[in-house]
Amino acid sequence: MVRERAREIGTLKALGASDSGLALAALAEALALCAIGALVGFALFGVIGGAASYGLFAIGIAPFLPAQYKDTLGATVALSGQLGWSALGLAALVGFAVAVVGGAYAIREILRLSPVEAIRHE
Amino acid sequence: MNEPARTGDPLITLRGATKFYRKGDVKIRALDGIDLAVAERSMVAIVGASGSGKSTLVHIIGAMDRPTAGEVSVAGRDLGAVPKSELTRFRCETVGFVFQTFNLIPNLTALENVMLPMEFNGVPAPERRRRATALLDRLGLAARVAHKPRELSGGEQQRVAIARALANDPPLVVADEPTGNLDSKTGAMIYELLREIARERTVLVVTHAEPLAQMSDRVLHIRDGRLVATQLT
Repeated sequence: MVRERAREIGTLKALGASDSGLALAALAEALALCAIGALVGFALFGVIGGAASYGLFAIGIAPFLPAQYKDTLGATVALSGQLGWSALGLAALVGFAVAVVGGAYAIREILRLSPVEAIRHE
Repeated sequence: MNEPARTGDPLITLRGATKFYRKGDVKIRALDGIDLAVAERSMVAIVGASGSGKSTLVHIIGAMDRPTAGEVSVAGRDLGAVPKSELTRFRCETVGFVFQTFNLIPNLTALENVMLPMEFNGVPAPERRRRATALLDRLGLAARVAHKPRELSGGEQQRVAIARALANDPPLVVADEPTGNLDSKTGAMIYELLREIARERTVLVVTHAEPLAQMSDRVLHIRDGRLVATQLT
């Protein structure tokens, strides 16, 4: 945990913030960050994703394909530029799982943190 | 030498309070059988060299840490018998903390910082705002309520921290080196403010500054985890 953040959490504990309140705040922060990241990602994909994915994915795997496939590569192995509901749902699920795992780590650190250690000024 | 308990109902009572730490294989005795009684509405300074145990003493009295042995009673509660989950609530209601480095939350305004302990204590939002505004006004910070900590001087930040310590109207304020990051003039002003606060509640101050300590009702000298002298001023 970053020292400054630890000091802040230690101060909140000293002032009377409960472990459960701090844990919920950490989880909410992790979920909010993932949600913002997902929205930005979807928005970027909507603007440039279609065009980029068509070529980039094909170029990326080109070195690993046999030579006879390379002429028709763009048309055959390019990703779709559309995002379906299932893809959106999967992305949201993965994002949620990442947020929960990341948040769980933060919560573990918060519960272990002693306010005395966190606010020690030396 | 230990401080004998006084008659009446002291706010703080310690009997044989002892605290060990382990640093690797080394056992450190931070507090060594402290007996102490502190009356309500008084100001007590705790003076000692670095590592003498003075911060450990106030952390234990402030329910941020537990003694390894002995009894610690604050505001009628035996802290050894209070479950860890309830210590947080006890701190919130009973102890206001003032730190050397102010420890204000940087992304909150002065007003929001003072409202914070009341939020933890379940005080309704309009009441939080009213009380925090009144406290900041009392400490001469009415014009600074909307400022973030980085926009305030050291003395102003410490006054916000004192207002925050008073937010839940606790019977005890614990100040750990409150003037350590301030120039001598501002430090004396903060100490004077703490003296004024001690007219209505108990204030424990850890300090290196002997002249400021002499402004307290009592000065406790601590060395190697023991009270070696006590002085009425």
